[in-house]
Amino acid sequence: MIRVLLFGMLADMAGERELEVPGKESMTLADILDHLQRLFPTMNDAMFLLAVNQQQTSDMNTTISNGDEVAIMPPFSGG
Amino acid sequence: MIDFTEEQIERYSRHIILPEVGGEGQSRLLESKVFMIGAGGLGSPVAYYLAAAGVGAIGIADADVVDMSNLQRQIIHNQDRIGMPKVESARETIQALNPDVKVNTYNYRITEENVREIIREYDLVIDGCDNFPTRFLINDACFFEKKTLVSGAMFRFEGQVVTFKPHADAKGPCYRCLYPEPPPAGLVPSCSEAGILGALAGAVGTIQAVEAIKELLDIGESLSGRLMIFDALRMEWKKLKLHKDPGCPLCGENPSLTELVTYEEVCEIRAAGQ
Repeated sequence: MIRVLLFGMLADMAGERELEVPGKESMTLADILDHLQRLFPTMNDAMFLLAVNQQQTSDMNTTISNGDEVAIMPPFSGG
Repeated sequence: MIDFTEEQIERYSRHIILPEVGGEGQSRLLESKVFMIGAGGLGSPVAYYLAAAGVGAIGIADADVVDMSNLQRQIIHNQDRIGMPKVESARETIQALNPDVKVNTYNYRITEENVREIIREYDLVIDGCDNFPTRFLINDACFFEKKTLVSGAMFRFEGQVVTFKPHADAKGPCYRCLYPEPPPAGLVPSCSEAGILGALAGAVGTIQAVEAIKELLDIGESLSGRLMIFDALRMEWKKLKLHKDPGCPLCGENPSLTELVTYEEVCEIRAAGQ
Protein backbone atom coordinates (compact mmCIF):
# COMPACT_ATOMS: atom_id res chain seq x y z
CA MET A 1 0.00 0.00 0.00
CA ILE A 2 1.03 3.58 -0.62
CA ARG A 3 0.29 6.01 2.16
CA VAL A 4 -1.04 9.37 1.00
CA LEU A 5 -1.07 12.28 3.46
CA LEU A 6 -3.30 15.28 2.83
CA PHE A 7 -3.07 18.63 4.63
CA GLY A 8 -5.07 21.82 5.05
CA MET A 9 -7.88 22.42 2.57
CA LEU A 10 -7.01 19.25 0.67
CA ALA A 11 -7.76 17.16 3.74
CA ASP A 12 -11.03 19.07 4.15
CA MET A 13 -11.95 18.49 0.49
CA ALA A 14 -11.21 14.80 0.72
CA GLY A 15 -12.72 14.40 4.17
CA GLU A 16 -9.63 12.36 5.05
CA ARG A 17 -6.12 13.19 6.15
CA GLU A 18 -4.65 9.86 5.27
CA LEU A 19 -5.47 7.43 2.47
CA GLU A 20 -4.08 4.16 1.28
CA VAL A 21 -3.66 3.53 -2.43
CA PRO A 22 -2.89 0.00 -3.64
CA GLY A 23 0.56 -0.13 -5.24
CA LYS A 24 0.83 -1.37 -8.84
CA GLU A 25 3.70 -2.32 -11.12
CA SER A 26 5.72 0.70 -12.38
CA MET A 27 3.44 3.23 -10.73
CA THR A 28 4.44 6.90 -10.84
CA LEU A 29 3.58 9.99 -8.88
CA ALA A 30 1.38 11.05 -11.83
CA ASP A 31 -0.64 7.83 -11.42
CA ILE A 32 -1.20 8.54 -7.74
CA LEU A 33 -2.41 12.07 -8.51
CA ASP A 34 -4.71 10.78 -11.27
CA HIS A 35 -6.17 8.31 -8.82
CA LEU A 36 -6.75 11.02 -6.20
CA GLN A 37 -8.19 13.48 -8.68
CA ARG A 38 -10.71 10.89 -9.82
CA LEU A 39 -11.73 10.36 -6.19
CA PHE A 40 -11.76 14.09 -5.38
CA PRO A 41 -12.38 16.10 -8.57
CA THR A 42 -12.02 19.44 -6.73
CA MET A 43 -8.33 18.63 -6.32
CA ASN A 44 -7.85 19.34 -10.04
CA ASP A 45 -7.66 23.09 -9.46
CA ALA A 46 -5.71 22.94 -6.23
CA MET A 47 -2.15 24.08 -5.80
CA PHE A 48 0.17 21.99 -3.69
CA LEU A 49 3.69 20.77 -3.24
CA LEU A 50 4.43 17.06 -3.41
CA ALA A 51 6.81 15.06 -1.29
CA VAL A 52 7.70 11.40 -1.62
CA ASN A 53 9.07 9.88 1.56
CA GLN A 54 9.34 13.36 3.12
CA GLN A 55 11.36 14.69 0.18
CA GLN A 56 9.91 17.39 -2.08
CA THR A 57 9.69 16.45 -5.75
CA SER A 58 8.14 17.99 -8.83
CA ASP A 59 9.03 15.02 -11.04
CA MET A 60 5.73 13.34 -11.92
CA ASN A 61 7.64 10.33 -13.27
CA THR A 62 8.99 9.49 -9.81
CA THR A 63 8.38 5.78 -9.27
CA ILE A 64 6.11 4.99 -6.34
CA SER A 65 6.26 1.59 -4.69
CA ASN A 66 4.45 -0.17 -1.88
CA GLY A 67 5.46 1.32 1.45
CA ASP A 68 6.14 4.79 0.05
CA GLU A 69 4.57 7.87 1.58
CA VAL A 70 3.26 10.67 -0.62
CA ALA A 71 2.52 14.02 1.09
CA ILE A 72 0.35 16.61 -0.65
CA MET A 73 0.73 20.01 0.96
CA PRO A 74 -1.23 23.12 -0.05
CA PRO A 75 0.01 26.57 0.94
CA PHE A 76 -1.48 28.17 4.07
CA SER A 77 -2.12 31.88 4.29
CA GLY A 78 -3.32 32.50 7.83
CA GLY A 79 -1.25 34.60 10.14
CA MET B 1 30.99 44.06 21.54
CA ILE B 2 28.52 46.23 23.41
CA ASP B 3 29.35 47.37 26.96
CA PHE B 4 26.42 45.96 28.85
CA THR B 5 24.81 47.93 31.64
CA GLU B 6 24.32 46.12 34.93
CA GLU B 7 20.63 45.90 34.19
CA GLN B 8 21.34 44.29 30.81
CA ILE B 9 23.68 41.73 32.36
CA GLU B 10 20.89 40.75 34.72
CA ARG B 11 18.13 40.89 32.11
CA TYR B 12 19.99 38.71 29.60
CA SER B 13 21.85 36.52 32.12
CA ARG B 14 20.06 33.32 31.00
CA HIS B 15 21.20 33.97 27.45
CA ILE B 16 24.69 35.07 28.37
CA ILE B 17 25.41 31.86 30.31
CA LEU B 18 24.54 29.75 27.25
CA PRO B 19 27.85 28.99 25.50
CA GLU B 20 26.05 29.24 22.11
CA VAL B 21 24.94 32.78 22.88
CA GLY B 22 27.30 34.31 25.45
CA GLY B 23 28.06 38.00 25.75
CA GLU B 24 29.01 38.14 22.12
CA GLY B 25 25.73 36.63 20.92
CA GLN B 26 23.67 38.84 23.21
CA SER B 27 25.57 41.82 21.92
CA ARG B 28 24.76 40.70 18.39
CA LEU B 29 21.05 40.45 19.21
CA LEU B 30 21.09 43.96 20.65
CA GLU B 31 22.57 45.20 17.41
CA SER B 32 20.16 43.22 15.20
CA LYS B 33 17.23 44.61 13.27
CA VAL B 34 14.22 42.46 12.42
CA PHE B 35 11.28 43.42 10.24
CA MET B 36 7.93 41.72 10.85
CA ILE B 37 4.95 41.73 8.52
CA GLY B 38 1.79 41.40 10.56
CA ALA B 39 1.12 42.18 14.21
CA GLY B 40 -1.51 39.46 14.41
CA GLY B 41 -1.63 35.85 15.57
CA LEU B 42 1.92 34.97 14.53
CA GLY B 43 3.36 38.45 14.93
CA SER B 44 2.29 38.58 18.58
CA PRO B 45 4.50 35.79 19.94
CA VAL B 46 7.29 36.66 17.52
CA ALA B 47 7.36 40.28 18.71
CA TYR B 48 7.15 39.24 22.36
CA TYR B 49 10.06 36.81 22.19
CA LEU B 50 12.27 38.95 19.98
CA ALA B 51 11.70 41.87 22.33
CA ALA B 52 12.38 39.75 25.38
CA ALA B 53 15.56 38.47 23.71
CA GLY B 54 16.76 42.03 23.26
CA VAL B 55 16.67 42.28 19.49
CA GLY B 56 17.78 45.88 19.11
CA ALA B 57 15.27 47.11 16.55
CA ILE B 58 11.95 45.58 15.57
CA GLY B 59 10.05 46.99 12.61
CA ILE B 60 6.36 46.06 12.51
CA ALA B 61 4.09 46.57 9.53
CA ASP B 62 0.32 46.22 9.85
CA ALA B 63 -2.41 48.47 8.48
CA ASP B 64 -5.18 47.22 10.80
CA VAL B 65 -6.55 48.36 14.14
CA VAL B 66 -7.13 46.07 17.12
CA ASP B 67 -10.54 44.40 16.98
CA MET B 68 -12.30 42.36 19.67
CA SER B 69 -12.16 39.26 17.45
CA ASN B 70 -8.35 39.50 17.38
CA LEU B 71 -7.92 39.01 21.12
CA GLN B 72 -8.60 35.25 21.00
CA ARG B 73 -5.06 34.78 19.62
CA GLN B 74 -3.27 38.10 19.11
CA ILE B 75 -1.82 38.27 22.59
CA ILE B 76 0.33 41.36 22.10
CA HIS B 77 -2.88 43.44 22.16
CA ASN B 78 -5.49 43.78 24.90
CA GLN B 79 -9.04 44.90 25.47
CA ASP B 80 -8.10 48.51 26.27
CA ARG B 81 -6.48 48.86 22.86
CA ILE B 82 -9.52 48.05 20.71
CA GLY B 83 -9.57 50.55 17.86
CA MET B 84 -5.87 51.41 18.26
CA PRO B 85 -3.54 50.71 15.31
CA LYS B 86 -2.03 47.27 15.89
CA VAL B 87 1.49 48.57 15.37
CA GLU B 88 0.99 51.14 18.17
CA SER B 89 -0.46 48.54 20.48
CA ALA B 90 2.50 46.24 19.73
CA ARG B 91 4.90 49.10 20.41
CA GLU B 92 3.35 49.74 23.83
CA THR B 93 3.59 46.08 24.81
CA ILE B 94 7.17 45.72 23.60
CA GLN B 95 8.37 48.87 25.32
CA ALA B 96 6.72 47.86 28.58
CA LEU B 97 8.55 44.54 28.34
CA ASN B 98 11.99 45.76 27.28
CA PRO B 99 13.03 49.40 26.87
CA ASP B 100 16.23 48.25 25.11
CA VAL B 101 14.20 47.58 21.98
CA LYS B 102 13.60 50.29 19.42
CA VAL B 103 10.26 49.79 17.68
CA ASN B 104 9.66 51.14 14.18
CA THR B 105 6.03 51.12 13.12
CA TYR B 106 4.62 50.97 9.60
CA ASN B 107 0.90 51.56 9.88
CA TYR B 108 0.16 50.92 6.24
CA ARG B 109 0.08 48.16 3.68
CA ILE B 110 3.33 46.76 2.38
CA THR B 111 3.31 47.16 -1.39
CA GLU B 112 5.66 46.67 -4.30
CA GLU B 113 6.42 50.41 -4.09
CA ASN B 114 7.65 50.43 -0.47
CA VAL B 115 8.72 46.92 0.49
CA ARG B 116 12.27 46.80 -0.84
CA GLU B 117 13.26 50.12 0.63
CA ILE B 118 11.88 49.11 4.04
CA ILE B 119 13.46 45.67 4.32
CA ARG B 120 16.83 46.98 3.13
CA GLU B 121 17.20 48.52 6.61
CA TYR B 122 16.84 45.17 8.37
CA ASP B 123 18.90 42.01 8.91
CA LEU B 124 16.04 39.52 8.79
CA VAL B 125 12.35 39.42 7.86
CA ILE B 126 9.49 37.54 9.53
CA ASP B 127 6.34 36.77 7.58
CA GLY B 128 3.25 36.53 9.76
CA CYS B 129 0.81 38.08 7.32
CA ASP B 130 -2.65 36.74 6.53
CA ASN B 131 -2.86 36.69 2.74
CA PHE B 132 -1.17 35.19 -0.31
CA PRO B 133 -0.43 38.39 -2.28
CA THR B 134 1.68 39.71 0.61
CA ARG B 135 3.40 36.35 1.10
CA PHE B 136 4.54 36.34 -2.53
CA LEU B 137 5.52 40.01 -2.40
CA ILE B 138 7.64 39.52 0.73
CA ASN B 139 9.30 36.40 -0.67
CA ASP B 140 10.23 38.18 -3.88
CA ALA B 141 11.43 41.32 -2.09
CA CYS B 142 13.58 39.24 0.30
CA PHE B 143 15.06 37.38 -2.67
CA PHE B 144 15.96 40.59 -4.48
CA GLU B 145 17.32 42.23 -1.31
CA LYS B 146 19.10 39.04 -0.15
CA LYS B 147 17.34 38.96 3.22
CA THR B 148 16.66 35.83 5.23
CA LEU B 149 12.91 35.22 5.56
CA VAL B 150 11.37 33.19 8.38
CA SER B 151 7.90 32.31 7.20
CA GLY B 152 4.98 31.04 9.26
CA ALA B 153 1.43 30.30 8.14
CA MET B 154 -1.66 28.64 9.57
CA PHE B 155 -4.88 26.95 8.55
CA ARG B 156 -7.45 26.02 11.25
CA PHE B 157 -5.44 23.58 13.41
CA GLU B 158 -2.33 23.31 11.22
CA GLY B 159 0.79 25.40 10.87
CA GLN B 160 3.81 25.63 8.59
CA VAL B 161 7.22 27.11 9.39
CA VAL B 162 10.15 27.40 6.98
CA THR B 163 13.16 29.65 6.42
CA PHE B 164 14.03 30.96 2.98
CA LYS B 165 17.53 32.21 2.27
CA PRO B 166 18.49 31.23 -1.26
CA HIS B 167 21.13 34.00 -1.22
CA ALA B 168 23.05 32.21 1.55
CA ASP B 169 22.11 28.55 1.03
CA ALA B 170 22.92 27.38 -2.52
CA LYS B 171 20.51 24.43 -2.20
CA GLY B 172 17.87 26.37 -0.30
CA PRO B 173 14.54 27.16 -1.97
CA CYS B 174 12.45 30.31 -1.98
CA TYR B 175 8.67 30.30 -1.43
CA ARG B 176 8.10 30.07 -5.19
CA CYS B 177 10.10 26.83 -5.36
CA LEU B 178 7.25 25.41 -3.25
CA TYR B 179 4.39 27.33 -4.82
CA PRO B 180 5.21 29.16 -8.06
CA GLU B 181 2.20 31.47 -7.79
CA PRO B 182 -0.82 32.12 -5.56
CA PRO B 183 -3.57 29.48 -5.63
CA PRO B 184 -6.77 30.20 -7.58
CA ALA B 185 -9.47 32.17 -5.80
CA GLY B 186 -11.93 29.32 -5.20
CA LEU B 187 -9.35 27.43 -3.18
CA VAL B 188 -8.57 30.12 -0.65
CA PRO B 189 -10.86 30.29 2.36
CA SER B 190 -12.26 33.76 2.96
CA CYS B 191 -10.05 35.39 5.59
CA SER B 192 -12.80 36.09 8.08
CA GLU B 193 -14.48 32.72 7.54
CA ALA B 194 -11.36 30.67 8.18
CA GLY B 195 -11.40 29.76 11.85
CA ILE B 196 -8.17 29.29 13.70
CA LEU B 197 -7.27 27.73 17.04
CA GLY B 198 -5.85 30.68 18.98
CA ALA B 199 -3.06 28.86 20.79
CA LEU B 200 -1.83 27.39 17.50
CA ALA B 201 -0.54 30.87 16.66
CA GLY B 202 1.57 30.73 19.82
CA ALA B 203 3.12 27.40 18.83
CA VAL B 204 3.89 28.43 15.26
CA GLY B 205 4.97 32.01 16.02
CA THR B 206 7.25 30.87 18.82
CA ILE B 207 9.05 28.51 16.43
CA GLN B 208 9.49 31.47 14.06
CA ALA B 209 11.03 33.48 16.90
CA VAL B 210 13.39 30.62 17.75
CA GLU B 211 14.49 30.30 14.12
CA ALA B 212 14.93 34.07 13.76
CA ILE B 213 17.18 34.20 16.84
CA LYS B 214 19.21 31.21 15.54
CA GLU B 215 19.65 32.93 12.18
CA LEU B 216 20.73 36.19 13.84
CA LEU B 217 23.24 34.33 16.01
CA ASP B 218 24.23 31.92 13.24
CA ILE B 219 23.87 28.91 15.53
CA GLY B 220 22.37 25.44 15.16
CA GLU B 221 20.76 24.10 12.02
CA SER B 222 18.86 26.50 9.84
CA LEU B 223 15.30 25.73 8.77
CA SER B 224 16.28 26.61 5.22
CA GLY B 225 15.26 23.69 3.02
CA ARG B 226 12.99 22.09 5.59
CA LEU B 227 9.25 22.67 5.95
CA MET B 228 7.96 21.99 9.45
CA ILE B 229 4.27 21.13 9.56
CA PHE B 230 2.39 21.15 12.85
CA ASP B 231 -0.93 19.41 13.33
CA ALA B 232 -2.36 20.58 16.64
CA LEU B 233 -5.33 18.20 16.66
CA ARG B 234 -3.08 15.17 16.32
CA MET B 235 -0.17 16.81 18.13
CA GLU B 236 2.24 15.87 15.38
CA TRP B 237 5.16 17.62 13.75
CA LYS B 238 6.11 16.50 10.26
CA LYS B 239 9.13 17.59 8.30
CA LEU B 240 9.48 17.74 4.53
CA LYS B 241 12.86 18.19 2.93
CA LEU B 242 12.66 20.91 0.29
CA HIS B 243 14.89 21.72 -2.63
CA LYS B 244 15.63 24.65 -4.83
CA ASP B 245 13.61 24.28 -8.05
CA PRO B 246 15.82 24.93 -11.10
CA GLY B 247 12.60 25.95 -12.90
CA CYS B 248 11.58 28.44 -10.17
CA PRO B 249 10.26 31.64 -11.80
CA LEU B 250 12.19 33.71 -9.25
CA CYS B 251 15.36 31.95 -8.08
CA GLY B 252 15.65 29.29 -10.83
CA GLU B 253 18.10 29.05 -13.69
CA ASN B 254 16.02 31.10 -16.14
CA PRO B 255 13.87 33.35 -13.98
CA SER B 256 10.83 34.97 -15.57
CA LEU B 257 10.38 37.33 -12.62
CA THR B 258 12.92 40.10 -12.55
CA GLU B 259 10.90 42.63 -10.60
CA LEU B 260 8.13 42.68 -7.99
CA VAL B 261 4.60 41.79 -9.02
CA THR B 262 1.37 42.44 -7.13
CA TYR B 263 -1.42 39.87 -6.96
CA GLU B 264 -4.99 40.75 -6.15
CA GLU B 265 -6.27 40.03 -2.69
CA VAL B 266 -8.65 37.11 -3.10
CA CYS B 267 -10.55 37.77 0.13
CA GLU B 268 -11.26 41.35 -0.86
CA ILE B 269 -12.59 40.25 -4.23
CA ARG B 270 -14.84 37.77 -2.56
CA ALA B 271 -16.04 40.29 0.00
CA ALA B 272 -16.80 42.80 -2.74
CA GLY B 273 -18.81 40.21 -4.65
CA GLN B 274 -20.92 39.22 -1.67
